[in-house]
Amino acid sequence: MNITFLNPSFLWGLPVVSVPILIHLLSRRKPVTSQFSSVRFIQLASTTVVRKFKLKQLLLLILRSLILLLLTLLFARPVVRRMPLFAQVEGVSRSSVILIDNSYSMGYVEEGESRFALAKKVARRIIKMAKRGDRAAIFLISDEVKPLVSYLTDDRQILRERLEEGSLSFRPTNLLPGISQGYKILQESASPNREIILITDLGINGWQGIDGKSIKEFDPEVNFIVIDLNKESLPNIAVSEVGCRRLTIGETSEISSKIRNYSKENISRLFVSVFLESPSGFQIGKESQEKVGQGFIDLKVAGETTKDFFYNFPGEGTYLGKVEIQEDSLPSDNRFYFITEASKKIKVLLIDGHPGISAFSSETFYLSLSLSPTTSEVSSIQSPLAVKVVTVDEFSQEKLDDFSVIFLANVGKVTSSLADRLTSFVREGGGVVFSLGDNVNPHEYNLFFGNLLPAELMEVKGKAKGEKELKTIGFQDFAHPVLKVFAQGKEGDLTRASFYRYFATQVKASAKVVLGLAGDMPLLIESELPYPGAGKVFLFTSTLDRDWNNLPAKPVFLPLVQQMVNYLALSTLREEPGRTFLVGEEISYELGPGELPPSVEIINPQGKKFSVIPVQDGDFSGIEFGPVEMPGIYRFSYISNRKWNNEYLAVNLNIESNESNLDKMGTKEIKKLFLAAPIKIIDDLANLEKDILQLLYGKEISKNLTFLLVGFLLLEVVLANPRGKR
Amino acid sequence: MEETKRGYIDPLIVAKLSTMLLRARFVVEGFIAGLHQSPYRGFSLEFAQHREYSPGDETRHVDWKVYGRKDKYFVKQYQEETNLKGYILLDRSASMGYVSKGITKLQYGSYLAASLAYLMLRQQDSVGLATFDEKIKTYIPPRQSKGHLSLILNELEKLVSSSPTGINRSLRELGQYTKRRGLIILISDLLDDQEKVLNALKYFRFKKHEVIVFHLLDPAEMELPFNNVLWLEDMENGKRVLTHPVIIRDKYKSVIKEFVEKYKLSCLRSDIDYCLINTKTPLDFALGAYLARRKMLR
Repeated sequence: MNITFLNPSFLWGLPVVSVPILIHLLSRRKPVTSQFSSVRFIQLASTTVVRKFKLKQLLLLILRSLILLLLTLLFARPVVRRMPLFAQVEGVSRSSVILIDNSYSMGYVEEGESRFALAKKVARRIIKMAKRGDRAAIFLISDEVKPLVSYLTDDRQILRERLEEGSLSFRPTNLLPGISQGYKILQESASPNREIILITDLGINGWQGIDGKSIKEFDPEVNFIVIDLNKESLPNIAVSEVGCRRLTIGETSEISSKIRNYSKENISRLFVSVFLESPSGFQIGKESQEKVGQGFIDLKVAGETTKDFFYNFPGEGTYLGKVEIQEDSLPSDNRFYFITEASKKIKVLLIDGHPGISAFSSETFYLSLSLSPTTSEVSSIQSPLAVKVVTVDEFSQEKLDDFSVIFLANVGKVTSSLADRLTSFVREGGGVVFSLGDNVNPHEYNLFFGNLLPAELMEVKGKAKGEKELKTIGFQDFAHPVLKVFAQGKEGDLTRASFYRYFATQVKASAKVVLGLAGDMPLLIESELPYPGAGKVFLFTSTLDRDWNNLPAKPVFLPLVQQMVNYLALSTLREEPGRTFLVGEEISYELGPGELPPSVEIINPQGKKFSVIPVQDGDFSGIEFGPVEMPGIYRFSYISNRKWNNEYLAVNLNIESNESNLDKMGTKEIKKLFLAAPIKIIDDLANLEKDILQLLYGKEISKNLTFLLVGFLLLEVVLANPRGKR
Repeated sequence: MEETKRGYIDPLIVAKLSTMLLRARFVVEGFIAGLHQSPYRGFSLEFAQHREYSPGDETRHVDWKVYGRKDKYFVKQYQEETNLKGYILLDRSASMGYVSKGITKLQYGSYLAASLAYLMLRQQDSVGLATFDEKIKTYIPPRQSKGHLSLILNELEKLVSSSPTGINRSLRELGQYTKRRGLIILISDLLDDQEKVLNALKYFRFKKHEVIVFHLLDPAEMELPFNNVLWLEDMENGKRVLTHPVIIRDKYKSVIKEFVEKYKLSCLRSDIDYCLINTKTPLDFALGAYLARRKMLR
C-alpha cells in the first residue's frame, strides 16, 4: 500500500504540525524557588494529579499536532493505493487490452446466463468506465487469438459494436498466446499507464504451458488484472468418445460411448441416448432426431463409464450419429458426433504374392474360396464377407479404408510403401494376416514388417512334399476366440493337417502363439500394435495354399480362416478414420476415386454453405479447408464422374484438452506465476468499477480524514476543558 | 520598641475585648478571687461547711465557737471564687515564619498572645507564656501582677522563628510545669504529626486542663494562589518540590481542608476549643470570635 497526493504542494504546510510543540517549548519557564511552610501537603496533592495532568497534556499536544497534520493532509488530498505496483501516472490516459476468454467452458450457464455473456457485460462496463483519451483493444482468446478490435482506440462506439460481434467458440483455452498478444499491443503504446484485463473462468486447462519463465518475458510495467467469473468449481459431464465396430447388416452392431464425470460427486442414473440417421434424413442445419437407443449410467467422481448400444442396421450405407447425455450447465460437451458405415459384408483384401495362370494355381485360391464359399449362382445365402484379390502392384491403387482385413499370401515383392500403408492400416484398426511361402525373404520381412510381425523370421524348416518327416499341429490355444469353435471337435480336427515346410521364428515377447507345430514350432502367432484402437496381426508361418502343407485341403481350413477374419474385423472398436475431426483442426479430406470435381460444396452444422476447390498434391487428392469451428456433421457435395456425391464428416470438441474440467486455477498459483508482474484478481463483480478504479487510481481518503479530524477536534475540546471547568 | 509593645495592647482591641470577659470553661485552682468558680474548698469569705480538725490544719481556721458547743475541733471551709491560671503556648518554629503577604504567622501569633495575656491579666487571671519549636525555648510562669505583662510582652517582642516544630514534645514538656489545672492556649500552625499533636492535647484534657487551640494558617497555605510552576522549599527541612499550583490547587485545598477538619473534629470530640485563624483576619475579630465562642460554651 502506498499514498500519493492530488495537491502535493500543500504538503509544504506540514511543518505547521510542529506549532503546538514549539508553543509548548517556548511557553516553558524555568521555575523559581520559593519558601513554603511545609511541602508535605503539596506532595500529597501532587502524587496522582500531576501524573494525570502531564499525560493529558501530552495527549493534547499529540492531538493538536495530529489535528494540524490532518488539516494539512486534507488540503493535500491523499490517495491510498493498496497495490503500489499498480500505480498510475496521474493525468495520463490509459491503454488497455481486454482479453475475453471464449473457450467452450465459458458456455457454462449460471442463473440463465452463460459466462461468456457475463464476460461481455463485464467488458462493456470496463469500456464504459474509460475516461476521455483512454484507449483499448479487445481480443477473444481460446486456443486461438481472435481480434475484435486489434488496435488501441479511444472510440468507444467501435469498441462496443465490435464487442457485440464476439461469440463463444468451441475451442479449448490456451491463454498464453492471447496474453502475449496483449503485451505485444501494449508495447506500441507510449502511455505509462498500461494494463491487460483478462476476463475468464480461470479454467485450469487454460494455464497449461504458462510458467514463471514465460511471464518473466513480459513487460513488468504492464498491470495485469484478471476478472474471475468462476464463482466455484461446478459439476460437468461430457461425452468423451464414441466408437463403432465394423457394422454388418444382419448382425447386431455395437456403438460404444465413453462418458466422463468432471464433478466432485458421484452421478447416478445419467440418461444417455444415441441417435442415428441415414444421409437421406440429413437436414441442413438440423440435428438428428432419430433416437435408436437410450439408457442410464452411473458415474464415479472424476471417473469414466462406457455405455454400449446395440443396434441392427436396416441397410447398407453411411450413418450419421451422435451420442447425447441429458443437459447440464455446460451444453457443448454433452454430445459426440460420429459417422459410420454399415455394410453388407466384411471386406477382405487378399494380396496374392504368387498369382498363377489359373485361379487354382494362385497362392490365394484356397483362401478366397474359403472366405466366400457361396455365390449367388449356387446359393441364396450371401456370405458376410466380400473378398477382393489383388496383386502387389494393384495394392497401391486400393483405398484401404474400405477393408477390414488384409491377407498377404506369400508376397515377395516388399517395399517400404507397402509396409507403411499396412502399418497405417493396422494402427487405424485393421487386421492383417501374413502367410509365408517361397517368395518370402525373411531378411526383407524382418526389415520392412519388423514392427508389424509378431515374430522374427528365421530360416525355412522342413522337407519336400511327400517325404516322411512331416509336422502336425501340436499346440492349440482353445481359449483363443479363433480356436473356440474347434474346442469341442465339431468343426474338425486341426491336428490332421500335415506341414512339410514352415519358417522357424523367434516369437516376440508381446506376441502370443495360437497354434504350434509339434516340437514347439509356432504356426499361428498373434500380436497387436501398441496404439489405442490399433488392429491385430496374425503370422502364419507356413503357406495358406497347398505348397507347404495340406491344411487347405482339410475341412478345418474354412472355419479357421473365417474365424480369423471375423476375429480381426470385429476385435477393435474403430472409428471411421479420416472422418472425425476436432474443432480447430485444419480439414484435409481425401475424396473418393474418380476425377476431381471443380469444387466441393460444404455445409456446416449450422447450415452455412461454402465452396472449396479440391487439390491434387502427389498421392493426395481431396479438399483442404478450415480450421473448423463448430462441432457437428459436415456434408461435402460434389459431382464426380457425372454423379452427384455426398460425403460426411463429424467434428467434435477436443475433450482430451481437459477443457470440460471446470476446476479453476488457484489464485495463489496464478500469483506465483506473476511474481515479477503486478497482478490483481477481482472476483467481486458488483464492485467491479470501484475495484478497478481504486486499483489504478487509488482511493481518496479525504472523507475518512474529515471524520477523523472531527473526532480529534471533539476529543481535544473534551480533554482541554475538563468537566466542571466548562 | 515601645511603639510595638503598645501595638500588642492596642486600646481599640482591648476596648472591644473588655466587654467580653474571657471566662474559663471549667473551674480551676487559683488563689485569687475572680470571676471563675473554683471547685475546691479554700479559705475565702463565703462559708461552705465544717470539717473535723486533723493534724496539720492551720489553727487559725479552727472555729472556736463550734469547739465551745461540741468540745471538738472543727475547721471552717469556704467556697471561694478563684482566678484562672493561663498558659499561653506559642509556636515559634521555622514554619511560623512563613508569610505570603502582611505579617508572619509568628507575628500574628505574638499579637494574639499579647492580647490574650493583657486580657487575662485584666480579669485578674494569672497568665504565663511558653514559646517552643522542637522543645520549649522560653517559659514565663503564670503571675497575676501587672508587671508580669511587660515581662511577657518583652519576651514576645524578641521572638524569631527558628528550628523545626516539635509540638508534641513541647506540650509534654509543658505538662511538667502545670501541676494545677488551668487554661492551656496553644497558638500554632500545627504543622506536625497530627496524631501526636492530638494525643498531647488530649493529655492536657486528661489532666483536667481547659485547652484552646488557635490554629494559624497563612492565606497562601490555605489557597495555594500561585500561578506558575515553581520549586517550593520546605522551611523546616529544606526539601524542594516542583509544584504545579494550577493543577494541584483543588486537590491541595481538599487535602488542607481534610487536615483542618481532622483537627476540628478531634478537638470537638475531646472538648477542646479549636479556632482556625487566617493571618489576614483582623486580630480583634479573631479574638472577638474566640471570646464569643467561649461565651457560648458556658
